[in-house]
Amino acid sequence: MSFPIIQFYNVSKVYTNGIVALSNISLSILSGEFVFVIGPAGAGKTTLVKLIYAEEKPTSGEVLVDGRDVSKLKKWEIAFLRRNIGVVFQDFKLIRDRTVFENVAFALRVCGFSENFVKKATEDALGRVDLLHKRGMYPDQLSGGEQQRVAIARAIVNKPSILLTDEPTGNLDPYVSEEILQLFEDLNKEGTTVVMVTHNAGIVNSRDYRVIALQDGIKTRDDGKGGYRYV
Amino acid sequence: MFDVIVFFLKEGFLIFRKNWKQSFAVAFVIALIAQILLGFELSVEELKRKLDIALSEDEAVIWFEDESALKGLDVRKVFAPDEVRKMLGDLIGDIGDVALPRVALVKWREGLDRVEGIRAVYRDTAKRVFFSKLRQLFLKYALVFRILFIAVVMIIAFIQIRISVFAHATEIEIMRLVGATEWFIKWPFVFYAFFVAVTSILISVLMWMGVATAFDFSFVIPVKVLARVCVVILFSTFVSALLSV
Ligand SMILES: Nc1ncnc2c1ncn2[C@@H]1O[C@H](COP(=O)(O)OP(=O)(O)O)[C@@H](O)[C@H]1O
Ligand SMILES: [Mg+2]
Repeated sequence: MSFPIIQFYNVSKVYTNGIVALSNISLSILSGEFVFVIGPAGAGKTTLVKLIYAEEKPTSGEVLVDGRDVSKLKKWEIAFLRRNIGVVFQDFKLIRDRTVFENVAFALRVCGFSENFVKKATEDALGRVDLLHKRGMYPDQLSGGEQQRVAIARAIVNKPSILLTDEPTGNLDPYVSEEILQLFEDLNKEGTTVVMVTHNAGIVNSRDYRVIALQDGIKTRDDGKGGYRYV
Repeated sequence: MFDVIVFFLKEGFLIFRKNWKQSFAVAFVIALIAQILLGFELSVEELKRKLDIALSEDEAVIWFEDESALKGLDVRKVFAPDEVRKMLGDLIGDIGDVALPRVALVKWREGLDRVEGIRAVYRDTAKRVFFSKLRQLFLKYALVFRILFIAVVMIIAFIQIRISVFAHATEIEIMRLVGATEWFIKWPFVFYAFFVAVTSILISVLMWMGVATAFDFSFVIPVKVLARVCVVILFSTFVSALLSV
């Protein structure tokens, strides 16, 4: 059964410097959906993602994740919300002086899980992204695509129901990008809701997923069926 | 729970190791400050001991000839000859080889000065008031000094922990991102502060041992005073760690 897992009601975001990053956005994303978010630089895509994992609060309107208004959550509630949301960035955000395994395990350890569970879950996640054999290597010893897979393993190690990805293939070549996309699709098939922000027209056009387009903070398009075309 | 503490310990150690030169330098500076505090605490003890003699309202210091004079008196303390020599020496300089009277602290009662075998009774009210005022004043200043020391250690620890917080911005960002609570983010730095404190205590102990050796071990620092200095170091770094993350 699908249910709305991410809901925006007339959401606007004005940063303290007066820049309107989003204005009056309403949308609903169902659990299990795969959604592309597209738009030129500065359109507000990252802001939209940040609102979902409560890194930013809306200036007006409501953002509901799993039915809960994120701007009303306390600090510790936000922490627990984030255990159910995996986030992947363009720049990977890996810790350079820790191994692949340590980077992924870190996400569980800081949530207080027992070492037995950490070991098992980390190996599972690294298996998912096919990097178990490189568990002892450091990020600098890996290719960009591999580093991104480590970041994905870290994002999914807690088995989140939402995966947010902000231009995850921005630094990767087309072939590797396609691999990463397939990885997201596999996770999506297992029930994870995937929101993928991307610039990459090739990727969007190669699939038939829902596309939300932003421009200057305004939602210009929300099509159930894909294709990357600016209006 | 056990795993969590091990995790904090490891992370705290990693923070220490990542910037070990600076961590050591800070521990060394704190150890130096601890030496000043230690010297101060030692003189506090010494002065307290001196001033304590003429303190209590119902006590008197007597000079007596032999033990039989003490019969029937409520004796609080009989000073050993060495102690008397040292006390006098402290007060009026080296007194050479003169024969010393025996000295004791006893409970005051009427007619004490007429007891056979007691040569003199010191129970000077004016002096006593003076001493007890001096003592109060002194302890008040001692408190201010201690607070000052704690503040200095705390500021140094605070700055160092802030620096390591900035040096671990990526780790902290990731911790927040994956859903660590604020307490979880704090504790590795608390353990880091603990490691710095332990290091500076170890350095202090080495310094103390150096001093003790230089004085041919005739100079013994009371355990009580050592413990006090260690507690100050642990306490101040702990509090500043809690405040700085
Ligand atoms: N923290 C911030 N403070 C102020 N302005 C910001 C901040 N983050 C983003 N912006 C501005 O908000 C607008 C939208 O940014 P962003 O959401 O990052 O767009 P996108 O990800 O689509 O490139 C831009 O004009 C950007 O300069
Ligand atoms: Mg962006």
